[in-house]
Amino acid sequence: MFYKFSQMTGRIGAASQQAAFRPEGVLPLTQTEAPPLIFGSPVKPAGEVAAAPQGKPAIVRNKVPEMQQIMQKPGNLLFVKRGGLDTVLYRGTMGLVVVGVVYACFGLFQAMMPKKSED
Amino acid sequence: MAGYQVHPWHLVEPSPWPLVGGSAAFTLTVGLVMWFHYNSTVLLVLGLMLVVVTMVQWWRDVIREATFQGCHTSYVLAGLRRGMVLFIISEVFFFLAFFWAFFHSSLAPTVELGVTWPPVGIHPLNAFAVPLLNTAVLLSSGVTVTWAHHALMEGKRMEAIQALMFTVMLGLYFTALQAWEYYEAPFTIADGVYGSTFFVATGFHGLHVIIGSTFLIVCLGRQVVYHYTSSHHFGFEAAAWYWHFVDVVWLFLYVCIYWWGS
Repeated sequence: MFYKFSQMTGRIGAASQQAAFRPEGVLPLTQTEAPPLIFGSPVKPAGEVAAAPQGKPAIVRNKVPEMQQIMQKPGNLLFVKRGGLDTVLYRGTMGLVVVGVVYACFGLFQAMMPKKSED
Repeated sequence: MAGYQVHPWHLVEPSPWPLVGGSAAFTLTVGLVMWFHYNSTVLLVLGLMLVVVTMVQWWRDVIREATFQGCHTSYVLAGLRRGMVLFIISEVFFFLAFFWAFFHSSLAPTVELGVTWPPVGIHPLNAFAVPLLNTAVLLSSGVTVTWAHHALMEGKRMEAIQALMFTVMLGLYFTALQAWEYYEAPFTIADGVYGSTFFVATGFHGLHVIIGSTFLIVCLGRQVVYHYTSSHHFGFEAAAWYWHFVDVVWLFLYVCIYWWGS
């Protein structure tokens, strides 16, 4: 079974293999443009309409396109896709988890064998 | 994962978060045992920290998949919608249990309670004072979250931000009023079945308000950094559904426990 997105109905429907050449969400990962089915006409990005009225510079810059480029590059797994900070966070979390589980097991083991009181 | 895929679904990449989350929950559980049994909070704090960092990183990855990789196709979104609906239904039954306990005790009060509800010696809170204000606050927040949704659908960025800010502020105001009400309450959770049912039901509702407010704060942050489009903002929709659910639970709590129950 093959699928394609219908611009008319706005839904995914059955299609032939040829028509399904570009179904929704399957653009090549090297492409840097925003996926047309999400960001293309008639969808308006929420930021464009009133982001900077009368030519005023926006206070917060839209970094979504850059992030899309970074995240769609082939390579690292998703949770370390940005490199440095992601790796530090991931390794830190894994380290803490090991400490936590070992400490918890140790605590349970201690609790399992209560010492007799002196008196 | 180069090239094309010939189906609309999202096949997730390997992720450490389920295992890390499970281990964090284990650490937290044993931490609670250690706290209750030995009065030691070291493992409890570690477990809480682990749960928080797992949540942050797991949901950060979901945002990456949705907003930056475009994996949330309309088929995937349909699954997410059903998942959120099922989650909210499970929450409905969670609260149903507390209402059951409340009506079990209040509809046929036992001799020990003085065959009356509220039980003899209990002075309930005035339903037409702070609880009525809380009802107005929460209903207003339901209006502002709908305003935010419409602004978002019409691509009005600043209006959506303003409406979400109002919603978050109303949510925090509700929590502050509830905290004050708890502090002032003339009965405690240990005051028989009245105190138990009152504080467990309203307390879990308060916890849900805090979770919903956090969810809405995350949505506000994501709206500020341009994550939502006029037609693609399921994270916000899920938060709005959850908020309306919390709102409806409050109406039942107000009518049954605060008003009828007093």
